[in-house]
Amino acid sequence: MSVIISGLLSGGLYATIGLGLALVFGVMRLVNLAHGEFIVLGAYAASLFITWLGVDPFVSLIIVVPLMALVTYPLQRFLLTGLLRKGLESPLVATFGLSLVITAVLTALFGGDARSLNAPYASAGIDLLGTRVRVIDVVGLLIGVVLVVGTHLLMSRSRWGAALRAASADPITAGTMGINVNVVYALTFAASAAIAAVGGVLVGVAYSFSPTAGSNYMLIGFTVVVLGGTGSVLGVLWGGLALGVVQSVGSAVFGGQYRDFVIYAAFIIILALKPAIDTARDRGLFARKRYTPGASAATPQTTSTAVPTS
Amino acid sequence: MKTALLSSGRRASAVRSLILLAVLLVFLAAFGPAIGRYQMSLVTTLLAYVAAATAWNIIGGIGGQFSLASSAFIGVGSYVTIMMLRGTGLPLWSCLATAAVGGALFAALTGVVLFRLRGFYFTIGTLAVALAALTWMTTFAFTGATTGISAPLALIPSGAALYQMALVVAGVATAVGIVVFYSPFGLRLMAVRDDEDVADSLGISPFRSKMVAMTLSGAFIGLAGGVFALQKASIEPFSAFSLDWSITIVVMVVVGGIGTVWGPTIGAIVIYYGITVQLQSVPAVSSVISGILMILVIKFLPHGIVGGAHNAFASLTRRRNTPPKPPLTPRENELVHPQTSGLEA
Repeated sequence: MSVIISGLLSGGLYATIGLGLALVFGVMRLVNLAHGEFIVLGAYAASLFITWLGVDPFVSLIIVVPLMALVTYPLQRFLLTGLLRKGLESPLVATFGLSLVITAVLTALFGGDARSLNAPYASAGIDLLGTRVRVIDVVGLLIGVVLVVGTHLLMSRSRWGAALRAASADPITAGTMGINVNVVYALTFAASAAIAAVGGVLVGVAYSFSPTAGSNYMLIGFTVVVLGGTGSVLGVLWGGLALGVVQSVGSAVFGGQYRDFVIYAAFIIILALKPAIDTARDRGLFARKRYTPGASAATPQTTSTAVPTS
Repeated sequence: MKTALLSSGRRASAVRSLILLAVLLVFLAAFGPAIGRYQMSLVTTLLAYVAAATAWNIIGGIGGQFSLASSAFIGVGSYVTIMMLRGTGLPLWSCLATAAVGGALFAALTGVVLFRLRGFYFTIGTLAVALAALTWMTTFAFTGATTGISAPLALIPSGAALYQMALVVAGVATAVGIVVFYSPFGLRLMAVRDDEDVADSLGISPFRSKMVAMTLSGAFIGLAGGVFALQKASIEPFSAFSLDWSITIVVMVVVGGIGTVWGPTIGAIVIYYGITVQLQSVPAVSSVISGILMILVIKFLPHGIVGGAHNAFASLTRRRNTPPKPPLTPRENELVHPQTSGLEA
């Protein structure tokens, strides 16, 4: 039971990590290989402001979140949107190059050692359903739930969400209806990076981070996205919780040194089963509400025709 | 159709490339011993990179399957070579050959699991394979876990012998790359890359084509790993299975020209000799430059240095600013870089 609870609690963090990826992927079918590095970048940025201003890690988010959004907006607007037209490989290579640059710069500035964000409540514990758990893990779960549900409501209820869904479903028609698709794309990317920054602070307080940890987080994020059903925002939450439990149970069974290996193995197995799951889903099993028509891999769309000229 | 496309021009290009390769190899073999020990070891590493990049280009460039699992194949090749050398007492060459077998088997296994998926799902899957292999090796007692293993120094070949080995490995890998590029198999692979569904409907098996390409690619990346391991003599998981291998190989191919014959070789020279070696004392700077170079190349020169040079040459000779899209006559298809067709929206 305690294994399940600790798994569910880490699931909130995993959902936060996956949410940014799911957003960018669902809206513009962009695979951001630098997402893990955005998380690490957010953590390092927060660590700077914490030392300079002496504030609490979560208070530093007031500065870090807008900063991350501001820095990443032009990346999508002037680099990635243009590359989306060139097919699958170009944005993949570009975000990969981006992740390389971020890792190298962080290593040069901060060294390769792992560090963490200090908060007085980082190691405090409370009793939850008879199990002793860390406060920060509960906070992580709450943040994950709030972010996922908030994004879901924003996308399904607000005008901005409607524009976003329109730009995702049919960029060219959306463009003729007065929606500036390029701006919508860039805003989505910036929002995704902002969410990554929140995830970074959460990682920093609950665990530790190093410049090279990005690929690990990105993989966690993708596991969550694939588990939750690609393109689905609420699915991210279920995916995060499921991964948390799988990892927790896995490391309880095989031993703590296999903690990371369990995630990778689970991901490979899920990927291997994915075509079968997609077929089942297309036949009506586990049908769920989607934001993006045709987001399932069983009916691939060609991005090259769907993205307008920038 | 197949025979029509395989015009004499295509075969002539293959022969020309192979002759160029032979000249280069003879040159390197002749002048290698004259360049001193330090330069020789640099060129040995460079040749191993050339082999790995060319091999990756078969699946990643010609086949369009953007794999990040190279580090696992390098690691498998490294460990297999050193373990065989330590454990069996077989001659050096056969130990190195088992690295190819190990790399090919692991690549085939990766392919069987992941080739049901397309595009970025495959890419992320290969990343998971690379990280899973690394974490597995850190706990695997049989290979010394985090401590790693080393080969007895008496069995490690001299610098000159290793140089020759690297020369042979790079030569064979490049020759295979050339043959694949110009062969009917290469054309099938490009068809799968450009439109998997259409290729499938024309009777090409995408799965089989990708599996063959992946296995070939894994074999030579494994061989390159064997050469790297012999150079180091002692290996441990964090360096042998480091994700840096995957990254470096992709950067080399992208900068040189993805999907081209000589792109990987030129990319390996530019990145390793031009950047990594020159900036040895500041590795972070060389990483930053590699990353930025990669972004700039994909933005402005989608087919890398080779593609850019080709276009510049074409526009000079045709006195046009932009080369036209290739008409689908076999002759024209021959002259213009193959990837330019079907990519632009």
